[in-house]
Amino acid sequence: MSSEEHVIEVRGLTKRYRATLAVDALGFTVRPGTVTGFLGPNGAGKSTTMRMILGLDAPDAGHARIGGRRYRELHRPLREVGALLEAKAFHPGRSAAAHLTALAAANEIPRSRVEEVLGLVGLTEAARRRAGTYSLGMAQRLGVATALLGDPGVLVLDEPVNGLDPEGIRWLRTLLRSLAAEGRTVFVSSHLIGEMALTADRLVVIGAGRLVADTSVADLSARYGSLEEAFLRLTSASTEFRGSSARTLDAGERTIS
Amino acid sequence: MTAVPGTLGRFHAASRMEWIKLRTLRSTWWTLAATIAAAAAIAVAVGANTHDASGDLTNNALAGIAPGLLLVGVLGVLTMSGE
Repeated sequence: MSSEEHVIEVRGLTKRYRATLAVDALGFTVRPGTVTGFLGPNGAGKSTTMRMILGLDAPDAGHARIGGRRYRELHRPLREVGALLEAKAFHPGRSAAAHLTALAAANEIPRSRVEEVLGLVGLTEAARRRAGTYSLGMAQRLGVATALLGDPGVLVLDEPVNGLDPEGIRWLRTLLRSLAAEGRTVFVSSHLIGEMALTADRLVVIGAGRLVADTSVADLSARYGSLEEAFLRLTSASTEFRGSSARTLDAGERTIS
Repeated sequence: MTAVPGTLGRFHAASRMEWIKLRTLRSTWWTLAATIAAAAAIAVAVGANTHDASGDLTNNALAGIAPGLLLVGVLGVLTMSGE
């Protein structure tokens, strides 16, 4: 895998929804070989940014490129970029195996890969069950399987930890780290700082659509004492939803809604 | 969609995907079964109630086709709205 083609470049990315500036001249680079965490409070613009990287939303200014090309210019998108945006992005009446087989057929991916990814995410047993009967954790696993189907060099995952039990969280952490170790670019959003501290090597932190930090996990926690402290300080000016009593607590005790 | 080499191949791949998506839903088979059952049942009922020797046998036998077409329409709606 050559590394240049797996770099995600975001430059001056801006998205406006009527009066709200969801993403404001955002710029950062996500490199292969490491897990990069994408952190920000609820409503900071994480999902919007990811949707623009994947060509699902058109930016009002700036651009997002993967290996120098926009997503829509990729020849075989599913084989180059794996994405998980919503846990339940499948038909509830179709089984995991059928869902993946259909996508494999459309992208000329060998059928044997379906069994492979089902095994990788631990869904082999439930593969023939209708996906509508899955728990949120199982749905997330199917989402991860879908992202991995084309064996892509770039992974963009929006809140993949949601709904996973402790065993599932550890499994995902190990999986993401090993995918990065293989030379892939792994870009994962979350609002769970503790989990990101264990999973990611680098962090891109945004607040109110703006970049507030683009650095290593080690650097950030060293500078502020802990990663949680760093996150709360960096995003305090931009947090959109905050409990009414939050102002009376110190930063360390503040809870993110 | 850009016109890269193999546009026909892409069409073929997309068709294969749609076919897999269609046949892996239970509602597809229910709707098809209902279509055949309804068409046959109506043909039998119409035939059984025709006591006139000058009755058009072919027309009677095919009486269920129109309601059957409606059910195939339902299948189309199910397929599209499932996306």
